Amino acid sequence: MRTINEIPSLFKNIEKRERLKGAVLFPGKDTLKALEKATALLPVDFTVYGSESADGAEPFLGNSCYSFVPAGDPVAELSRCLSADTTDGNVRYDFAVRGDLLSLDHAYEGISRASLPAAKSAENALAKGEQTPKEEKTSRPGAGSERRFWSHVAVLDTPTKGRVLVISDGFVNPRPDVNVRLAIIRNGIGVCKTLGMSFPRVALLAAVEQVYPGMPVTVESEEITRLARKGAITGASVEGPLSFDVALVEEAAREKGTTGDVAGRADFLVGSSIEVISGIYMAQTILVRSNAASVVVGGGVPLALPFPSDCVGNIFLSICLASLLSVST
Amino acid sequence: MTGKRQRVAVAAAQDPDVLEALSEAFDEGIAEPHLFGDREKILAICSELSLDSSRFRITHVIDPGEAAREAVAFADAGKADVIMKGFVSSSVIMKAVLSKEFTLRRSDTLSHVAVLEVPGYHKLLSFTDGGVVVKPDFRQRIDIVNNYLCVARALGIELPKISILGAPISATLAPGVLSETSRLVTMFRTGELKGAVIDGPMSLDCALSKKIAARYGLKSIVSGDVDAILVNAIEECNIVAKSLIVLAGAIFAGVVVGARLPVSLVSRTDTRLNKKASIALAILVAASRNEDNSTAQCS
Repeated sequence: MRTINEIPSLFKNIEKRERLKGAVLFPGKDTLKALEKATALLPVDFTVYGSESADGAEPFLGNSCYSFVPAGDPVAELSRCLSADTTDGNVRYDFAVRGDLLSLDHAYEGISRASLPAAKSAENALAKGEQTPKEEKTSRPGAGSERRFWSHVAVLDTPTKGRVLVISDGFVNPRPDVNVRLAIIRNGIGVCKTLGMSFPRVALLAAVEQVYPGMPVTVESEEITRLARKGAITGASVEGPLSFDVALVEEAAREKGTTGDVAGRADFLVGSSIEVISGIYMAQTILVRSNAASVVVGGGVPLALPFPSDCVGNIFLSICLASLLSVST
Repeated sequence: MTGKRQRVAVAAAQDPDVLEALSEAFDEGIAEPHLFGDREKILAICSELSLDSSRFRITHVIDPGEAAREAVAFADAGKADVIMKGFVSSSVIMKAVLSKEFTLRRSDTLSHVAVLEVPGYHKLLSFTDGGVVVKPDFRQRIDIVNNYLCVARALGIELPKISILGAPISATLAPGVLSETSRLVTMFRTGELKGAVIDGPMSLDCALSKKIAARYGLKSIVSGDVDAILVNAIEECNIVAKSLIVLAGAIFAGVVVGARLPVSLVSRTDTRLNKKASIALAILVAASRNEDNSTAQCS
């Protein structure tokens, strides 16, 4: 994909089906502007959750673009929407959107709660004295026993490269170990494929290409590369440790003598900490004003998770990406 | 900066980009290069690039490792103001600089400072340390800040604003790192440490924009006007800075500080412009050090 602006047009490739249902949690003015655009361009019906007394809530009322539901606890509402919990007659949404009045700390908590297995969530609810959920609705075959794995994936336009770049994880898994990074890679490959990359090239970012025992990130990256080759990752080539320039710049890869399928041509960059990926994302979106989309995927329904630094355009693109992922996975 | 040329000892100087950048620095009247390396190769490169080799003094040493050692010994004897890396690996030259054989090592910590000119930001933006210390402890982080202050002084920044890089959510920092960070911030606030205004941890967006920081409910004197980002891990610093160089077209200059002399370690993959900027930065740091030698605070 050359630019992220192609995302809305990808809906044309999807066979005609019912309109999607999107839940929007605690939107402020910027999110509402983005919603207006999304309503016009995407086959989605939005339901807005929010507090009527909050700033920017006036436009909720009487707007025919979406229905409005007064909501209390943001963490509980988010985790319910994400885990597609349909007990108590709740609506099952196809995707959710973090509104700009929902703090990142609350979003993080909501995602963490939604990653508990369904049975566990039910126990928690019980412990809190909430209404007992009906058995048959909480236990799906093959699911429920394992913890759901969520990760954050962002897509950036890179005008100098003329193509989009996928990066992960800048939000959900702050310090991923080898196994978590493998799971991050699997989730990210799913996003790459939705964007039309048939065999994505995955680079494990580090400060250098050599492996030094004193630099744990390089040791772990080598381990992940080895496991990926042994079959832990399919449908993509994975290489690391690679420095940022060697991962993306062909001349730099040649100059450093780094061979392989990924060096100089990476599609998907995997970081070793939340600071790395959120740092790349913020540097590009704030200083370069790159178009970008930010989502959380894997555990249940996709969540559009724009950062507080995102402009209306990037909130819109995040909504587009989350809704596209909901129909392509 | 004084009008005086800074003497640059170059280790394994047989590198076209390095020779070209040095030649330009000579023409600008800021450098007096002394090359250690393979004379034949150096002269061949000079004639190929039509550089006037008479502006270089050359000590003929064929082996790059040996050339690095001799360049460092030369500087150690007070005959150079800057040590510069040519066609030799960074680790070789760093080992020589740190060697007990010489007296170049002065503070406990050497660290790398990357100075970036980023389109879209209103001032120079530095990142440290993305090149030397892998995971700095508390003591090393103080050294890294002080090392940066030497670079800031050379750049004419009087009271730099520094933010400590953090994540966009509060739940993710290890408690130890968090308490060390607030201890560092407090030490500068109370005046126990001087020369900078420091705040953090904060995510990069809060460091870069006051308006965005307000959306997090954060009010900080450094927000939106930072001169430097202090980063807790080598890869975080290296990767975020490089993303600005590769994707945002930032111009970059890097220097290693903390030794008695600044060390210029340009990478083979740096563009020619970035190599020139790195040499100029090291020369600037050396000149500023010579100017206020009496204070003896800076490398």
